[in-house]
Amino acid sequence: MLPENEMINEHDGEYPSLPEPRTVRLRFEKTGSLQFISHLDLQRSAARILTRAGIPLWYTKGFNPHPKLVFAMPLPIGCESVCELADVRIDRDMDCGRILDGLHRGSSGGLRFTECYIPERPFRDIAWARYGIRIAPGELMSPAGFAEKAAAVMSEKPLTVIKHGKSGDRLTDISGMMKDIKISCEGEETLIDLFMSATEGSTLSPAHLLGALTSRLGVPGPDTGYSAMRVCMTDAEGIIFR
Amino acid sequence: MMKMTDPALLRSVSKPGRYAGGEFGQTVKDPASVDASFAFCFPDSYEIGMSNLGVRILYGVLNREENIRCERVFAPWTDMEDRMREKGILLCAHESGEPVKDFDFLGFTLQYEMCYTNVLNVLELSGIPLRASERDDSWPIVIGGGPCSYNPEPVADFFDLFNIGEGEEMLPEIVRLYIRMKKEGATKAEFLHEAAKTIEGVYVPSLYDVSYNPDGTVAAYEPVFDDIPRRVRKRIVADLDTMYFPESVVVPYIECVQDRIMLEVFRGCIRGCRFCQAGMIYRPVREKSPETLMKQAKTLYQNTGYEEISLSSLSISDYTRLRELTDGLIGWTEDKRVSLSLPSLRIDSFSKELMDRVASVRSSSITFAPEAGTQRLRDVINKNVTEEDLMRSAGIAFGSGKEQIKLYFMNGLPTETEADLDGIADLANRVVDEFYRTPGHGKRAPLVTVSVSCFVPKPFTPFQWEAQDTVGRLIEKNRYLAGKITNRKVRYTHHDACVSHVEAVLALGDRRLSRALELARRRGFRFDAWDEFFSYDRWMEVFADSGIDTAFYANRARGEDEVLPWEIIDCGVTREFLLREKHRAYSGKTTPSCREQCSGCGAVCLGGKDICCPKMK
Ligand code: SF4
Ligand code: SF4
Repeated sequence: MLPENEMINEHDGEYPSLPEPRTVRLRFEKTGSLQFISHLDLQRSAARILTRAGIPLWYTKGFNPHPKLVFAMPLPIGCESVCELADVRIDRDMDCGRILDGLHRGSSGGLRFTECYIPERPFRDIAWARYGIRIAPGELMSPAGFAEKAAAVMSEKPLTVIKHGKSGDRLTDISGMMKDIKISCEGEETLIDLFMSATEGSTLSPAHLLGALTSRLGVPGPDTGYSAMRVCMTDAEGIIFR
Repeated sequence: MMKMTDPALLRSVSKPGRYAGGEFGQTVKDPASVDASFAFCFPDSYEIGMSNLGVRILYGVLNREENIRCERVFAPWTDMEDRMREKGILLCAHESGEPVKDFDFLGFTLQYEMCYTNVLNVLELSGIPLRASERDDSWPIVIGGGPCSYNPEPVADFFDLFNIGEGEEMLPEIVRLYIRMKKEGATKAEFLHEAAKTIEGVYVPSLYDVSYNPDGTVAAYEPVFDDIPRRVRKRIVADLDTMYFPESVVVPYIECVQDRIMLEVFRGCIRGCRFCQAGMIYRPVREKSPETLMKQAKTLYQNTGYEEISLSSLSISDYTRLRELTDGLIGWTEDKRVSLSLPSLRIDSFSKELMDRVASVRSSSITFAPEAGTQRLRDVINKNVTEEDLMRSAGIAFGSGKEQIKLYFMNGLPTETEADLDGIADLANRVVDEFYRTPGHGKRAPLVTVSVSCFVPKPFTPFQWEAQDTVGRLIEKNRYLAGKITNRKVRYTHHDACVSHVEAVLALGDRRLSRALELARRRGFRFDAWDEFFSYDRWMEVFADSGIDTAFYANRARGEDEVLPWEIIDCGVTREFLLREKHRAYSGKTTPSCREQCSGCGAVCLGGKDICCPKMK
């Protein structure tokens, strides 16, 4: 039996060089166990993934050349996503279809590349990210009971949480950073579907909300099963960002 | 029951990426499609274990066999362990998440003595009884290998079998034999006997009885069957060019200590420094050709995407075709923007050309290992480098912009006197002077770091008969040296003498040490290779409570006709040679490298292709 991924061929020279580097946007999913790989580790690994994929990376000039790679928005550890975006610069004319093929071979497990295209909008247009959060309150509460209490907490104004930042912990009011909240129940689980602010400098993560719920309701507790999934990102007008 | 990969569990521990799996290049096989499963454990954290080249090679070697499934196992970090114990979660293998105890084999690579408590902890966390004698046929067969298995005795009671030497060929042979005999309905005891009888390099401790003299030294080893070897000879791979080499390796997501392509250029070392175990146990030197290495580098680059290649071997500048290899590699790596690094440069073969070509520009520091402060002592230990060599190398480094030099020394070496310690301080001062003498030196002030470790006598070295200095004496010497180093441009660091003492006991011990290790485990010892977990006082209590006199093992000079516990192993190098070398040390005579002249160490009898030994008649 072969290893999971077969050998990758070198494509060098196959593609004509470009007069100017070209930026392509990659869309990818990060799910399953890969949710426990931090954004920093993914950033470190990204160049390796792209190299394995045989993508003709453009390198910065100067003393310590490195490829140019920009992620739309860091994904917090412990959160899955089906809508991650990253821009990468290439210096040869490899078309998007082949880039995607290469990426399929060069990635594994819960990291799956789904699209490659020429970007039309800059990442700074991203304003909101939509999340689906599933919590199984277990013995602590019924899903419906938790749904009701969670709804009450989430409509508090102000709703202050502790945010850990570079300059220490600070109290932040997150009530204005959430919108379109829908709470429902499914079997043993409570589902929270909502948009969270994703503008630079005022980004909310599911962990903040879950922290607020834990501190007020005791759920999710340390052993509570839950999952969080980033579903899509939109601009300020609510149009899907791609 | 909860598993190690449960998201709620992973959310509650530090660095959950250690346990998440799903890395690129891992091999996942369907348990139903194989005849044997092998859990391969590096008994330390994921980041350390994944940095080991041997793990990468043997993982590939086993998985290459269609009917064998090999998975990785690491020691869970302490926060994870605490959660596992609290919840009754068993240790699982990395790929499938299947409990380790359900595998046919559990193999440990023993890289350093201080990991022994982790070995026992891994067994315990897997729910496996510690002692081989307590495990019936339903438990995995526990195998050990790696450098520490050259004296397997202190941990012998916990293992069913050791493979002594290089595992590329031996390990699959062992598993294949197991598969065949399992199909025939053989018992574990029958399998172990057959392996010991038919596979060179296999040591089954339970098949050898040890007797002791009244003074506590070993009297004899007696095989319990007539048809197994009286001494177990180490295995080597004859031809490195045709030897299996993994064309793809697992690429971890989280940062590991060695996170790069490691190209093994050759095995063994031509030098024979008298304190160095690696220089003896990996003999004879066998090289890979530059053609093979170039091919492997390119393939690995394509299959892993690593941006750095490190040439890994004991004394890389002794590679006979280094020029050819670096010439070939450099053109290609520059084009690919892959950086090339060389570890362990020997001072006497360090050249400006070599540094300009490969030393990574980013690092401002470089390391040399003179090991001893005076020429006299360097001759005793057969470190054939001179002060001129060091100054010349330092000058080259300073001249090309480096400002920091790290110097490795050892204290407590046989015959050491105060003058030798003074010599360390003097040498460091002269390296600082060299900086100012070097035209074109850097603008900032130089920094010379003197890093001193304590001499630990190791099995199969000419110094295996030596007594280690007592902890008190070692600490005294460290203090003395600290007082001697007054230059503000010299920084002094030293290893913990207490760790070195325990290391010596575990390195030079016999089977009676298993009592102490078992007790250490019962008292919760783990990660003793990590400073933050090592406690000398608690170790001393354990030794005392299990009736072990540490001085007997560490601080006693062994008689030249004494039977040494590790002599159940035959590593190729003969006792006569080691003794000869010991005597030459005491008369201050150096021994030439294998390339200059063969000294008749005995390793030639192991064979091998492209070795530097003279051909046997
Ligand atoms: S050069 Fe000396 S210290 Fe280094 S590996 Fe060889 S024998 Fe050991
Ligand atoms: S037999 Fe001679 S050349 Fe070969 S390893 Fe021993 S000393 Fe060196």
